[in-house]
Amino acid sequence: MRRLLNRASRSVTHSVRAMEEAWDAFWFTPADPTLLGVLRVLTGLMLLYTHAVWGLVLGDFFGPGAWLSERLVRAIQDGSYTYSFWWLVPGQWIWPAYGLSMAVLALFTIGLWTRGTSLLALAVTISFCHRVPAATFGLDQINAMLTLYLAIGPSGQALSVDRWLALRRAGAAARPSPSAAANLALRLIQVHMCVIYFFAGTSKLQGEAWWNGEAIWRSFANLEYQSIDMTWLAWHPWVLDLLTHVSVLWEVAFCALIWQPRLRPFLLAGAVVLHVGIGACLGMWTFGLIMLVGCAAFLPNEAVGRIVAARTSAQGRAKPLVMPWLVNPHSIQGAPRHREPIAVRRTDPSERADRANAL
Amino acid sequence: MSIGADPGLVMPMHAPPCRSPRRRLLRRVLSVWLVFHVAAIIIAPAAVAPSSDLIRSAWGLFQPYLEVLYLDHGYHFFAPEPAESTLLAFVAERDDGTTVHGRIPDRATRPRLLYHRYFMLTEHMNDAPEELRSLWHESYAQHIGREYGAARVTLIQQTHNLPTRERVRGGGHLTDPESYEDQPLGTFRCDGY
Repeated sequence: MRRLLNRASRSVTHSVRAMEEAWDAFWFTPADPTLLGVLRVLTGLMLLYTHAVWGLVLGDFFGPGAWLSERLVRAIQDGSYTYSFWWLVPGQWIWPAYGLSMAVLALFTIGLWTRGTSLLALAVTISFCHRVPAATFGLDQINAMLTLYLAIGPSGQALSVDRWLALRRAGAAARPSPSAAANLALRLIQVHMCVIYFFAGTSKLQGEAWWNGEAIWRSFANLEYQSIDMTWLAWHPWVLDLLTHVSVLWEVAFCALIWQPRLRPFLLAGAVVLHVGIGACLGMWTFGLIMLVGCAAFLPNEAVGRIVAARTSAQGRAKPLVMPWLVNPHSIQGAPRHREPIAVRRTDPSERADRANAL
Repeated sequence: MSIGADPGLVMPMHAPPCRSPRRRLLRRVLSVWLVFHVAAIIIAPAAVAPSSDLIRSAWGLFQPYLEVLYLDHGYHFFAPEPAESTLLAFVAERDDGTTVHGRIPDRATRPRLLYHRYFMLTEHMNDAPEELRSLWHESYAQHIGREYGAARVTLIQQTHNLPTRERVRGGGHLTDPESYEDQPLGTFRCDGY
């Protein structure tokens, strides 16, 4: 009996330890921050565009007598834990406040004082959204989500003025060192994208139109969304049915299948088709593009790092570039099962030393 | 499936073991926050109606955290199904008797993102809770009055119904006047123009 209990106890201990190791490996394995830097630049550009468009109607939405009066917004947000610096800005100061906000977003985009400007960019983004809650949509939600995780991770360690200054000052390696914080931020984006697609998919299962094949037609037949006339599809109902079913299936399956290295390229290709389709047909290019920026967190980090390094480094020797999803996923040390060089890059010795330290 | 060791996403190695107690403690604290955070971002969309009492109770726990970080979203894009649009037509009357007729969103608005901002104003108005509707209409009317220097503003909510495939195949168009349904919201006196 005692032997049986001991064996059970050992088994439980082993399982718990294995789970603990898997958890640590998932969240805390050091990762190259280059992809995070790419995401910062792309998110920053979208933030700049989003807020530049606000500048066209600043008085109408943020000034005195705005579409959404302070009384209305306070009533909408009654009992909520919301904040916005706009409540502190007097009418005559809206343009200086706006200029300062744009400056913060520009600094975040170029990666100058990124630790501080990423947090300020998050505060700016949330403040704008909380001032005009009835004028926001998915774009603003993804903007804020990405900015939050880019503020958590070291998003200024690559493709940034901060990096360039560090290189000049200390002659650091061309490629930044892998860090657990970079991996943590990327993982948070990945997990959040999974949550978004899962609920986007399952919420559709409540609607009859997503079951009977009508949903995509209803999207195309909505004049207020339409940017390309797709009503010719009324003569091809099976195409509409197929698009409807594939959309739901893809969204629901994304959170499970994206983690499979062999399926990931297909899932990401599906994301490009879906979001470019939304942009082209429903006129929501900004939303489609920012969702693709979120999906870009699933790109092979190493390959992105090498491509960026190859473009930014002019010296070194040629080295084959391998797409990581062709690498054996069971090989912890990254020993390749299939290696197919798809590009040649040049690296410098300091970079190799940097990588050797990391491994 | 071993996602922790996926070389496509991270450096192909294990998380280095924590030797110093300080780092071990930091990792533990971060792990607790991660559990809380991931639970929070799942609860936010799960709490959108219809939801259970359990999920609604959990929402109460996470609400401050989610709202402060602007993560309190349902992500119900085009769900439960793509619906008809809401527009807002208005007539602004000035003291000199002239009138301005308009409608938001206006498809001529550029850039497209700005058009979507106006579109969201009318879509959110349609979804407004009953107790906020009059305040909502008042706010829009006051803004229109100020914009056009009008003393009175009349608002009409328009629902643009979606045509069926059969109707389009039979020669129907998305702009057919009979596809719009008008609902008068009232006439508002504007003080601030």
